[in-house]
Order: sequence, then C-alpha cells, then structure tokens
Amino acid sequence: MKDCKDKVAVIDVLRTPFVKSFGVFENESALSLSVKIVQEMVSRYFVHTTDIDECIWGVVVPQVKCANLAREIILFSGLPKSIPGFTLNKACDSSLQSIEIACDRISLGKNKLVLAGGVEVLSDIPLPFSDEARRFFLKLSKAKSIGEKLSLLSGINLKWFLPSPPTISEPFTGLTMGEHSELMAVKNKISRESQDVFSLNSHLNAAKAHHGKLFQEEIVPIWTGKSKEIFVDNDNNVRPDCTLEALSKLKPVFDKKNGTITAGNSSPLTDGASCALLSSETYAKEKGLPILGYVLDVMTVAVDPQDQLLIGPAYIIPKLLAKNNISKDDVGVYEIHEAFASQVLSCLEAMSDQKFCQEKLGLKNAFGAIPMTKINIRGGSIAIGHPFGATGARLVGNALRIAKEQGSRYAIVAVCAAGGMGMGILLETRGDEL
Amino acid sequence: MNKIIHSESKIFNIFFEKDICIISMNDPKKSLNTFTEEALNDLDKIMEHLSSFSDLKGIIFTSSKENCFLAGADITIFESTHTKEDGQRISTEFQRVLNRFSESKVPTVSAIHGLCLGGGLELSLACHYRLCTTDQNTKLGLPEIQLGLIPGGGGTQRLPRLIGVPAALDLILTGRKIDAKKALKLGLVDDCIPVNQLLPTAIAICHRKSFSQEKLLKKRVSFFSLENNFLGRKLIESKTLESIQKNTKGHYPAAFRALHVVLDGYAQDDLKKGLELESKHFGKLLVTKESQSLIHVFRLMTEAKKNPFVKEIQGKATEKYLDSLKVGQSAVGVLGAGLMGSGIATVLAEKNLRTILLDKSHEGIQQGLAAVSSYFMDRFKKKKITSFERDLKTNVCSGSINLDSLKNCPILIEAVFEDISVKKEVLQNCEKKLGTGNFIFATNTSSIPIAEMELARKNQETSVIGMHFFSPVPKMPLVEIIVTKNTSDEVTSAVFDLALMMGKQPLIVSDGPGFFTTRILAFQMAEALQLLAEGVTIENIDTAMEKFGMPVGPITLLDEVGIDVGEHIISILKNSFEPRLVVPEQVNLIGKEGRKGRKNQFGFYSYKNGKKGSVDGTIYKHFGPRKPIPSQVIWERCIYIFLNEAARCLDEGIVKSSGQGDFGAIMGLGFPPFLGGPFHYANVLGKENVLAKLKELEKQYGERFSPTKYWSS
Repeated sequence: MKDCKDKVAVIDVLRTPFVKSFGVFENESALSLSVKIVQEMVSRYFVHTTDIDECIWGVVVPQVKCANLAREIILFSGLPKSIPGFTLNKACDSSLQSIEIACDRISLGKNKLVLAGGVEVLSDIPLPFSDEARRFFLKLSKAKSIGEKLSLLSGINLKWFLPSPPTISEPFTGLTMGEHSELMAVKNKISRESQDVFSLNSHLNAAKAHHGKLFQEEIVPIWTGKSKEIFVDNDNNVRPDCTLEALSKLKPVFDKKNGTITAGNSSPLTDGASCALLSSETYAKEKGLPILGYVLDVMTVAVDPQDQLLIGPAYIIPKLLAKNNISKDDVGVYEIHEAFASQVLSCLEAMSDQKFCQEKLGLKNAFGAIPMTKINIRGGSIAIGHPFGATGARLVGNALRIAKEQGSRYAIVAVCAAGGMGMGILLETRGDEL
Repeated sequence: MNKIIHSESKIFNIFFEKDICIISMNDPKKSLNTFTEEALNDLDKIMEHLSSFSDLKGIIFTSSKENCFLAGADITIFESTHTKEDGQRISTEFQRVLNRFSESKVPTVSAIHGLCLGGGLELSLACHYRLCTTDQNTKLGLPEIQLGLIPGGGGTQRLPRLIGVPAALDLILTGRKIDAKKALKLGLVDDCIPVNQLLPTAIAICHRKSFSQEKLLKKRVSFFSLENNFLGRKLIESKTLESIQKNTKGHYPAAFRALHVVLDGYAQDDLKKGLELESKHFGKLLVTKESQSLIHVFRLMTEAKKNPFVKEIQGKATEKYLDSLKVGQSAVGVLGAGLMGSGIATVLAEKNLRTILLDKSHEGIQQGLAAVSSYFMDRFKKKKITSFERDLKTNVCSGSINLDSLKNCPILIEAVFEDISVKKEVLQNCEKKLGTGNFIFATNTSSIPIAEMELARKNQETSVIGMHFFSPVPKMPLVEIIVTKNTSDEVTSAVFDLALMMGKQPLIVSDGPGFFTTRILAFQMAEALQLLAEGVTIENIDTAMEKFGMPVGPITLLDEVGIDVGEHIISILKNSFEPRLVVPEQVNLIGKEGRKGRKNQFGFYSYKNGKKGSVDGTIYKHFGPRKPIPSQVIWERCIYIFLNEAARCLDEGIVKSSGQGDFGAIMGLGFPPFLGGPFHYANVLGKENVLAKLKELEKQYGERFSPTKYWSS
C-alpha cells in the first residue's frame, strides 16, 4: 500500500464516551449511538456529505432490527440517501476491518471519502430463546389447523422458554474468552500480581489522560435517557482511585479456584461507538480538511484457537514492521488492545521469547521487548472499556493523537480477536513532503 | 355501436374500452382539476350524449392529472355570485349534472387517484361505485365548511345515506381529508387498490352481471342504527349542536345549517327533497359575510404559498442555501435550545431536515433535545407516526455545545434569549467562528429591530434577516420574515422557501419596531390595559373580545405570553410610538409584584396546579374601583385601534398589501377568519364608516385613535 500514489489520510476519529453496559446508555441502541457520532463527524469537519462514497460499520452482536446497520446509520441520520453502506463482523477487529476496507478502496482510487467505524451496545442485545423454543415457535406459525396447533402445544416444555443469555465464548473450543486468557496466563507464566499491576497502570494512565482533558477532542458528548436528562461526556469505567491492594482482593471469575483473572484485570462489558473519517490525501488537501495522520499498512493474522486464542498481537507487530522495513524502535506509540491483562502480557512475553519468535514467526532471534513507556500510555481497554465493535477505531485515533503530540513518526495498533485472530495497523503522522 | 363521440371539450377526454366509456378529466389550463362553468357544461353534454348510446355497458369517470382527481369547485364561481338565488341556482344546476351519474342506466364508476375534494367527492358519491387508489396522495373530503359553505352537489344527502349520519357529519363539519384506508373503513369507497389496477378494476365492475340501480341508491345504513329513528336523530342533533357551539362559539353559521340539512334531508325518503333543501341553504350561505370572508382567507392562503421573487432569484437561492439541506448535505443550525429554539428544531426535524441544536450549556441542550424527542414520542403514541419515523425524526436533530459544529450550516436560526446584546454577541461569535458570507443569520425575535442587529455584524457580507416564529412553534402556522433595506432578495427567497419547507406560512414584512403582528397586537393590548385602568373588570375585557371572535381575550393572552415579555416588548415599542402607544403606569406595579403570568402561576388570573382559574382579584388594588362599561365600547376600542394600526403599517409599507395584512393577523394573532382579517373586515364595515368611528373615538379618548391616511385614501 505504501507504494500507491495516493496516501490514505485519517481526518479524525471520534467516539462516544465508553460506558459500562446496562448503565447510562440503556436507552440507546447500536444505531442511535452510531448516528450521533456520524452526525458530529460530518458537522465538525464541514464535510461535503454528498462526497462520502461509503459507510462501513463493524458490530459484533447481531443486529435484529437492522441487519445492515451501516446503511441504516446513513438513513436515520438524515445524510444523503445516496451513500451506500455495509456492515461487517470480525469480532473485536471489526472497526479495524472497516478501516482497512476503506483504506484499500481509497488507495485503489475507487473512493475518496469514507466513514468507517464500529459500535457495540450490549444494553441492546437480542435475547435468543433455546433451540427447542425456536423450533416450536416456527412450527406453530406454520401450523394451519387448530388441531395441529393443539398437538404442538401438548408437547411443550416450559424450560424451553427461559431465555438463554448470550455468552462471550468461542464456538470452536467451547471456552469463554476469559478461560482462554487463563490458559494463556498459565502458558506464559503470567502472575496474578503482574496482571494487577498492569491493570492498575491502565487505570492510572487513563485517569491522568482524562484529568488532562486529553480525550476532549475525540469524545462526543451524548444526551441520553428517556427525557435526555442524562448528559454523558466522559468514560465511566476509569477508576482514578484504583489501588493494587483493592485489585488484589478481587476473586477470580473464570477459574474460580485457581485462576488469576479477575473483573479488575479484564476489560469490562462496555457500550460505545467510534468512527473514523478517511479520505485520499489529494481530496483532503483539495477540500482543506485537517489531517490527523496516514494509514500505511493493515494486516491480519490467524492462529489455531486451541493454542493461544488471543496471541494475535505478538504475531502482527513483528510482521507488520518487517514488511514495511521499520524497526521497532522507530515506532513511538504502541496501542495494544487490552482484552485481559494476562493476554497483553502474554503477547509481550511471546515477542521477547526466542523460542516463540523462532517457531511461530520464523525469526532468528527474539523480536525483543517493547518499552512499557510506549504502550497504552493513555490507558487501555481495561480502564477505558471495550465496546467490541468500536475499540479498533478508538485505538487508531488515540495512537495518532499521542504520536502527533510526541512528535513520533510511526504508531502501531494491534488488536486480538476471537477466533484466534489478530489485526494490526501501521500509522504515520506526517505526509510525504516532510 | 358508434364508438366515436364528438366532444369538443378541452377538459374531458373521452375514450372507449370496448363498450365502456371512460371520461378522463384534465384541465390543461390548471395544475389541479376543478369544476368551472365550462367543465360542468361539457360534462353535461357528454353525459347527455352517452345516454343515447344503446349498447353502452358502463361509464368510468377518472382523471389523468398526476396527483389530482378533482379538487372541487373553482372558487371564482363563488366569488362572482352575489345573491342567494344565484347561489341556489348554481347548486341545483350542479346537482342536475351529477344526477346524470346516479340516474344512468348503465353502471357509473368513479375511479379516484389523488385529491378528491368537494365537488369531486360529490361526483363520486353520485356514481354507483367508487374506487380509490392506495396511494398516499389520494385524499378524500368535503372541505366546503372551511369556506363557510355546505356541500352543494348532493354531498350532504348522499354521504349520510352511504356511510351513516354520524360519520358523514364528522366529515362535513370538520372538512377534514381522509386517506384511502379510512375511506374504505367508512364505506365511502367500495375498494381501494394500487394505482396500476385502478382502471382494470373499474372496467371489471362495469362488466359485473348484476347491476341494480335502485339497490345501490338505497340507504346503506343498518335499519337499527341510531339515525334511522326519530329519537336517535334528536340525540345526534343535540350532541352535535353542543360540540358545534363549543367549537365555533356561534360564529360559523354554516355548521348549524350543515347539521340541519344533513338531518332533515336524511329523514326524507326522497333524495330529491333533500337535494332541494341542500341547494336552498347553499344559496343562503354563499352570500353570508362569513362565507365571503372565509373565501377571501382561502385565497390569501393560496397566494401566501407562492414565492414572490422571479424564478432566477428563487433558483439561485435554492442552489446556494437549500439544495444541500434537502439532500442532507448540510444541516440547519438552531442557536439556543430554549422553548423557541427547541420548537424550531422540532419543526425542522418533523420535515426530516437535519438540525443541529446549539446552546452554551449542556443543560440547555438537554432540555432542548428532551423537548424534541418527547414531541415525537407523543406523536408516536398518538399513532400519528411510526416508530421508524419517530427514530428518524429524533435522530436528525443533534445537540452540540461547540459552535464549530455549525460550520456546515448554510442557514442559522438564532433563538436565544430576547435581549439585543445577547443576540448581537451570538451573531459576532458566529461570524468569528464560521467565517462570513457563507451563512444566513436568521434571528427569531418578536420585536428587536433587524436593522440594529445588522449594525452589530463585523462583515457586511453576513446576511441578517428576521424570522419571527410564534409560540408554540409546532402549532402556530405563521412565520414573519423581516427584511431590511439591505436584505438581498436571494436571502429572503431562501428563508421564505425554508419556512415553506418547515410547513409554515411565511409572510414577508419590512423591518420596523414590532414589525407587523407584534405591533398591532401591542396596540390592542395597551388599549385593553387602558380599559382595565379605567375600571373595567378583566373578565369583561376578555369576554367582550372573545365574543367578537378572538380565540382568547387580550388579558388572558398577556398571561400566556408572559407579563414580563409583554412589558419588554412595550418598552421597545414605546420609544417609537409614543404618544400613540399608551400604557397605564400601574402596569409597572404589576410587574414589580413578580407577576409573570402562567409561567410562574402568578398573573392577572390565578392558577392552581397549572390550570387557569378565575381572575386574581388582588390585582385590582393597583387600580381604582371597578365600574361597568358596555361590552360594545370595550371591543370597539380594542378593535378600532387595532384596525387603525394595521392600516398605518400598510401606509408605512411594513406590509405590502391589505391581503398580506389580513393574512398576518389571522395566521399570527388568531384574528377571526370569519371576519376575513382587519382590512377585509374594515371593507365590509366600509372604510368611510371606520374613519368616522375613529374620529369619534379620537374626540373621546385622545389622539391614539387619530385615523391614518389609509382610511381617507
């Protein structure tokens, strides 16, 4: 992609506050949050909305009312009806995938201006019935005579009708994300304490960034609630008063006896939406749009879920850098998604591990350690929260903002995802002329 | 059969589908089909001619206009009729032609697509069968009552026989239009079908074997229903009378006549007698002052919707300011999320126009957005909109506390607190943040001179214009558009069209203290307060004015608007209009007491739990003792000063024409439509009589009644 004529510019990335699920956004839906963020994006940058070629949106929990959410976002926000849109699901990599497709189409010259984002509102998820109940309802609706209906009714079992709340588990392994993370902690010998320390830093860094109003640019305030009485202009997962002592007291949630993963060192269930506005560099300059940075390359890896499900970042970072001939020291900002502290630490451990790097990455030596001062310095998903479909885009915006402020040229974002996948995106803050 | 019919009609196209004749109406001179004398004569001839065809199997009446079947009678017919005998003749003649459809030996079918109103529906009622399309443009109704008339083509007789008396009375007395679904439910049409199947279905009906004219013309209402016995009809009569009296306060004679004609006509077994009754009353109503006034108002309303600028300017304005709004490319910015701002945003969102509501505090936005969303929630609960429409309309209005969000907006409507320094500051902030020359700054004010706002701008290219909305914005139809010497036609045209897009009735007036509506209202209110100071009770003032026909009395209105707001307006106008505008000094004391009216439950009236009670007697302590003054003196003083000021506005060029003055007073201030507006009313009274009365009042009460030039011109 680097050799293509037109670079892909990130105009900006905006997001809603990320808040605890089943909380202040309980009256919102994936659609309503997305609409708000898109509207703010187009009005803030004086976007010629008729120039928008496409809207690409990621969301993980299936949308019952609007299967193709991206198109509905356009229609329900009053934007030109001529903008097409499609929705994708690549688990926690969804919004990164939206961005990648947008970038590809821009650099191919097919598109010039694209809205790419993602959303997750767990407060608005469909509650599926059991398979037995589903079959019963379908048969009942097809039954023609009363006799047929009665005979169906005679065979019912009330247990069928207990709604089965969805779990965040891997269909292929039957284990939840947390259980997989426990396995990774064991495999990479990640201690409970190091996980808690990592989480503590996530909270303290995020709190510091909030305190310094560093997220003010990217967070779009939301008025919500039945009579819009709730005003949300900040993330509400972050605990500035978090202590190691408090974290260490928490009980493990997945392996309740011998586990190390607690609610404190995992990312919480979160509602939120984020959106990137991407354009070709030529278009941005022609219209005088500000440029936050550029997307250089995007990559995905996938590994056997049975092994280390969330190890993706340990693959993607070395590969992405090698492919683009950039050394790990050239990159000033590493934004690694924190599904679980044990998972991030496992990834870091793996990259420093010679055996792993030789076997899995085909390197001669270990990739080496990334200094903690470059990783998630404004907090990560553990503190800020993790709306599955929205995290990737948030990290892109955050990485570019930090890099720009620090004067770093390169930034990298890496996000693990269910299914043993991992995605990475290489960003640059300056254009060619520099 | 000779299938060629030599019709010279330019309005009706006749063609045959095998042995069925299709009469298709399309008046080339008009955008809507209406019954003119010519049309009626042509139709008469065609039907006469067809009756001689021996092997005809059916007649279908339809229209080839895009979205109009037949919108009723051409209104010029009514305007050129001056005696009740002529009126009756028109009705009888119309009935005679329509009877050709009901008396036809072959089936007649009305195939309706688009607007089907008044005479159009009456023609359909005369047909043996009615079909209409499911299209959303298909609307049926008998709106004659809105012109102070009753249907004159058999509508009052055939409709109740078809759908029953209560349903027919509802349609005739409200004049409301119903859609296809409702029409089918009421039994008004025999079927509603997609537009592509309209003619095939109509033809199929003609081919049906059994066709009994008598059976079709019989009353279709169940023998046991209320209207089929004397007592039942009495019950309907008393119930309906009660509601007419309540809704019209006795000012609209047509409603009473409609009820009488419907009930007495229905009691007759012979339709002919009913038709006679109808035409007699139609003739009587046509020459009433009320009807003439209402027809005048109807004209004004139609004219008011026409953009007064040449096509070229309109085109440029649309391209520059409105096209981008229509496709969602840009949004309308509304500054200030208070009562007015959120009301304006609601109206914009109602029309699916993207709107950004801006306020300086997030609490302000919260209230604004809450008002918008609860409005649509309410509409949804009342089943006026679907849940999807509710979500869309709620979503297209977004809130922001950052002026940068308005960068995309070609038109900003400013609705902040009514204080000129605040408004000026907002204007300057917008210029600073958003650049100049790009946007129209439309300021919503009831009295702040636009020229003064113009002085505050830093760049001469910023377009400032006044856009005076009335509260509550979603309900009040008028928008006063205030232009100064500097306002370009392009900008005015854009704002005019925006108001139309918002579903409002725009009225362009020139800048001046209080513009038009606020100014004339202020004079009326000042006079009412003068009467109060002189010793008239508040009840007497309000009742006298309500009896005259105003929707609410001036003192009640002051409580509703807010006493503080009233004071503020008067303080602005006083400078310009003293000594003509006189407000008794004691009024200041009322304000100082903290009385603000309904909003703080403390005004001229007392309030309990938000409900208006009786007059708060303690208010009289500021004035002398009460004494009785005849109610005629009260309304004469309040109305003549109002007429005089309206005329002065015309003299000064604040309003462009007497018609526009009438329009503004009716739409903005609720001046009684049955009087046709202040100028129409004065014409009915006779200008010279008004002049004489004003002179008399001047002698008695002072120079504020001094007649303006208009009366002697």
